[in-house]
Amino acid sequence: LSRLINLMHHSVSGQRQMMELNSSMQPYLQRDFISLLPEEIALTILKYLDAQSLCIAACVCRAWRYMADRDLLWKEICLKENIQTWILPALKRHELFTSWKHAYLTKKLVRETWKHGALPCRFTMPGHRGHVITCLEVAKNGLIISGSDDYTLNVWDSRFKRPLRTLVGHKGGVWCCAVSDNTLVSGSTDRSLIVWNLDNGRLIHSLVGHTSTVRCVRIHKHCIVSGSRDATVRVWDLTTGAVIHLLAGHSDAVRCLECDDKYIVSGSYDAKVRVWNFTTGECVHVLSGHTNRVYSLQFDGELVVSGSLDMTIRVWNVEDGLPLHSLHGHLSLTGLMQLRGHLLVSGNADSTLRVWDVTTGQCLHVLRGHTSAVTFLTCNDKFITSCSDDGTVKLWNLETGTLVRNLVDLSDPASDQDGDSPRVVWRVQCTDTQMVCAIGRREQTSDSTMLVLMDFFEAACHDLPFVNKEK
Amino acid sequence: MSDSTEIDPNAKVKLMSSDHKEFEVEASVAKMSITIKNMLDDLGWSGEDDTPIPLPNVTGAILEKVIQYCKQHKDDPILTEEEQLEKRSEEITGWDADFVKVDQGTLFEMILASNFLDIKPMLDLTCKTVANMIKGKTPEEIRKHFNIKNDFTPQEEEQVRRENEWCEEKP
Repeated sequence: LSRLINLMHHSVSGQRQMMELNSSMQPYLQRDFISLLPEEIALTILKYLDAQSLCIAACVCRAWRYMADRDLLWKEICLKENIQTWILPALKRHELFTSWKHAYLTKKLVRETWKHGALPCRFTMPGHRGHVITCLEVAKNGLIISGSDDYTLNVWDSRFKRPLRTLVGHKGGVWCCAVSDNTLVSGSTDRSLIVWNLDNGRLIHSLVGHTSTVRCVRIHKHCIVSGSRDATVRVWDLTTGAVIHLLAGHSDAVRCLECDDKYIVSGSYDAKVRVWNFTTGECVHVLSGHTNRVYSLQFDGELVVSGSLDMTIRVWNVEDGLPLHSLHGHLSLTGLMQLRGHLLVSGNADSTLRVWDVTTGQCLHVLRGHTSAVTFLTCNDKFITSCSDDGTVKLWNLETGTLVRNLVDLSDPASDQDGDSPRVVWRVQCTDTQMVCAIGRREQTSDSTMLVLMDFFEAACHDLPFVNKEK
Repeated sequence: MSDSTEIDPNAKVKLMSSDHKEFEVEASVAKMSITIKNMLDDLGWSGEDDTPIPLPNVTGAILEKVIQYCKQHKDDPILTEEEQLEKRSEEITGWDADFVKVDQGTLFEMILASNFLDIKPMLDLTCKTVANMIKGKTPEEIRKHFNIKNDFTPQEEEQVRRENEWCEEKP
């Protein structure tokens, strides 16, 4: 204080006096809030910071680092971004994460790795002896299942990138499958469905009843719902294999179906969509409007979205069965759709994808880049992944609709040493950390069918600062 | 013990700061502080008693700020949890923004006082004010702003930098 009074006396101009006063007073007025306040108050302050600001705060000094790294702050941030379900399996698996901050960091690095940086190395897993892969699923436990018209399904281990077993039992091509926990159900041209135990590969039930190819299947709670070229939908008991309902009404093949606790929705080549009561098996609504075959469905409990060969996509209200929107723009068959909240992603044989707002019926983005029909699409995290007959797998930004990059590109004949016919990608599935796709040739040869897997988590691990790389 | 609802909200309560300054406020204002409310309830305070309530942790200057806050906000609606969450991300505006335009020493005391007196919305406001000072600064700017010494060894600093550099937003 004496220094202060001294200053006041000796300063010449008012302004300079104020400036000097200010700079010499400053340290007395400043407070290190984070180090000096009781811990719970310091945490209250830090709870107002986002991830980026917390990281900067950790660089200030030792006391700040201790506080800004606190698990409960990062847990809150992780929960806000729904990271817990994503990272905890990995946490156990790799024992890398000692904290929620590490979980957050990993999520972020993995996302960056999807976007740019070197593509992870490709694990190639040949199988199905050159036959077409018709369905590809990834189970929650990391098993990958591929179904083929070679009558079999293959189960792969995504962690060690190797085949586990081949499921033999169907007497015709496998055309659809569904996974729930350790149960797999497959449908075939042999008119049957088979329920498999994924843990040991054993056949549990053979479901016989359909009189033509089983084309679509879903598992919901203790039920299996199947749709067939015989124009019916059947509901089966998962544990006993008994038929619960036979839903008859369509006049042509049932191509797609979705369900929730209350309803089963089915789409058919008869151009109709039917809504059934799950419990009673009664047909509640017939949704008429399409003028050609219905190939794809999405259902979120309120809205039914149907994609058709008539080039339109229609949005319906499930409760009253009334049409809400008709989405125009595609030039061919919409065989693929994904509904994410109010965003609908559609993949079309016209080689484009489109992102729509189903609440308004507006087309938000047209995703151009593929040079041939889109064969499959899937959404994960903030991305859309699509594959095509053009031999590429493309990653798109779900929000902006822009192409992020090609994850796989087999379209260049110069790089294709084996020659033969052009390569195609039939299916793609993504988890938040892995991409797996099914690849073959337009004209099959004995060894052309394979799965290709990329692990973005492992690629990101190289950049994690807290990983002991010698381990 | 008397039920607090029976007391006339306009009855005056006397508060005494650590430096023996006395303040007279309406009961409804004083009761914004859960700590004071509990003291009054425990004392069975009837509204006629004019013995000042001693607040040994709060100076007169800070108590004056606290009273300003309570007067301004005494009629605020009680927010649901959802509304509280929403409010967290809102900017500080209007009267509140002016209210927290104080030097760091005063703000520090205001935080301690609102914590001790258990006035949650004031604690949130003052804590958020500090958080806003931290946001958007580099570590060096933060040190300068709060007069903090960098006590990392060069090795530690390198490690901390590596651990945290990933947070920078890449396009």
